[in-house]
Amino acid sequence: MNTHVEITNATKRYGKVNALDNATVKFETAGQYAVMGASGSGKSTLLYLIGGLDRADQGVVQVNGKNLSGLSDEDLARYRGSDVGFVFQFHFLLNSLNCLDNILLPAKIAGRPLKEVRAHVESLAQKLSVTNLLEKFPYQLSGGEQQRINLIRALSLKPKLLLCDEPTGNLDSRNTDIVVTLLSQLAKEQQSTLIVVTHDQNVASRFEHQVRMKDGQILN
Amino acid sequence: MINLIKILLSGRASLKFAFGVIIGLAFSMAVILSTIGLMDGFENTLRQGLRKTVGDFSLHSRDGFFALNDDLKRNLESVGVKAYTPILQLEAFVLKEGKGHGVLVRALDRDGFNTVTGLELPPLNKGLVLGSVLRESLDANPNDQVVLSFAQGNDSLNALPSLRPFDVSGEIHHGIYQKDQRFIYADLSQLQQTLSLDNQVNSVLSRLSLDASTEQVEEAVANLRSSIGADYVVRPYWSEFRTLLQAVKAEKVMIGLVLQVIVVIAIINAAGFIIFLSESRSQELFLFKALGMSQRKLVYSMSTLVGALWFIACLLAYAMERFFSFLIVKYGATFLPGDIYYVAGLEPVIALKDYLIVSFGALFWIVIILSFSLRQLRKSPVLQGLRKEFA
Repeated sequence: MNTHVEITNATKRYGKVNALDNATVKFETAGQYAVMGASGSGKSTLLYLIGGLDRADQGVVQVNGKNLSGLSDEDLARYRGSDVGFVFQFHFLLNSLNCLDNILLPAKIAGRPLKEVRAHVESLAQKLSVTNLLEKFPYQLSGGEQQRINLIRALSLKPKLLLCDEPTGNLDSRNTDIVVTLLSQLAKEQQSTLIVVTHDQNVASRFEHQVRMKDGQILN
Repeated sequence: MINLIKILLSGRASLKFAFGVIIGLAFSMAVILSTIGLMDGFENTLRQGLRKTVGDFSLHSRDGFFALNDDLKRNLESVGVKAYTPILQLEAFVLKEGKGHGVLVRALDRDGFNTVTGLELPPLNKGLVLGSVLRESLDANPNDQVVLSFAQGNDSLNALPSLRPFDVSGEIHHGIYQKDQRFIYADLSQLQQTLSLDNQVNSVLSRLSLDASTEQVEEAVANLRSSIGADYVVRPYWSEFRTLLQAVKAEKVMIGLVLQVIVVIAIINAAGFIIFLSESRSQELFLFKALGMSQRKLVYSMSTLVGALWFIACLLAYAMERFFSFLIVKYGATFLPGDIYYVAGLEPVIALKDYLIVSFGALFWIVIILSFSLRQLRKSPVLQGLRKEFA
């Protein structure tokens, strides 16, 4: 297998706190990973560095051989838009748009042909049983439904890297099971590398690889 | 981009705020434009009115009456005068049924006067044409009789009869209150005959061209003064109101400065809106950035939105200004005391340059505020912004 993401001696400080401390880790292409650790262990920071939402103070974050630290703000924005799919814990759905418009946001921002993206979105919606929710507004949906919409948005552009930050953090066990199954299935279908940050042991055990973190360091 | 604009303007508060900003900005621009238009309109009306009474400049002899000889004609033509007309101007009193007014009688050749000044006098028919205010104050209607009493004491006028009856032929409107109140027109040959002045006159009105500029008139006046010597006095058409016109120019600058306060208030409104947008929609803005929108696109979208608001405000300002101008033209005369402001009515005059200066001046301030706001947004990292906004 090829290395998709390679982090070498990455350090990230927020004030005096070392959120990530000399971390080194590799993620293989199309692999499925759970990043585990207690709150404040640096797992979300690791995810955001990979996703290009933040920059490492020291060390190297490489994705497909591309050093993210060396990218300009414009290139980093383009990378986020085209290479990465994010599933956020708090959904980050805009209540001013209906679900379909929310899902199509990344495509519109990236300037992708909407017809093609929409067809893919509709097929994802069918798989996730939310076709009837597409015209609704996020505030009309339950937490589980919102997370499924969030998942479709992340997968809408068929990203090769799918990053999920506590995707089941606000869900009950039934919805947790549905979302994790779908994540795993869809990532496999799209041959995407999946990295899921979670503090839930049960969720983590559903993925083939587990990365443990503590105090900003990678334990295994 | 359309999506971002739709999102930025979503919600009643944003729309109301945007509406308020547009109205505020448009109103302030319209007030400034109307004021400029009013000042320029006043100057324009006054200059046009003055030109209608003396052409581009007038020539008087220091010795009183004179004949328009070939020498004088050559001198006039040498400075570029295209048309001239000799006139007789006399101070007099007009009397009608116990009412009397001090007036300036201008005896002239109607066609020549029209060519030089562009003022269409009603046919004189051996009678008198009265300024409109004077006619009204005397309550003199066409075919009524009035009596002119000419001043005595001038050697040339020793033989004058002191009182002379005339019929009223009509009235004339100059657009300048003072002229409408004092001027009476008579036929030149008739008055010359009545006063036994042969072919003598005491003034010559001249016109360079229909659209001679102030500078051209000044140049012609200077050339004529140097060629005809000290025996004659040459006065440009504005000489009588030179001080007033200078005062209007100075006033325009002062009022322009004072009106900056209105612009500042409107700009504060616009600044408030931009800050409101950045703050109330920062969740969306950070999410867009997280989903791959570049800072450049964000700047473009925000600039388009603010630019659109500015453009709508400009159009509205234009409409408001037209409305204010309509009110000034229609009702201005009712509140404009002609005896103080000289002109009987006003029509605001606004050049394209004025529109451009006012509208792009407002845009300049908006762009500065927007750039500060976007700089703040750029400074905040995406992650911090997301965490803060979605916390």
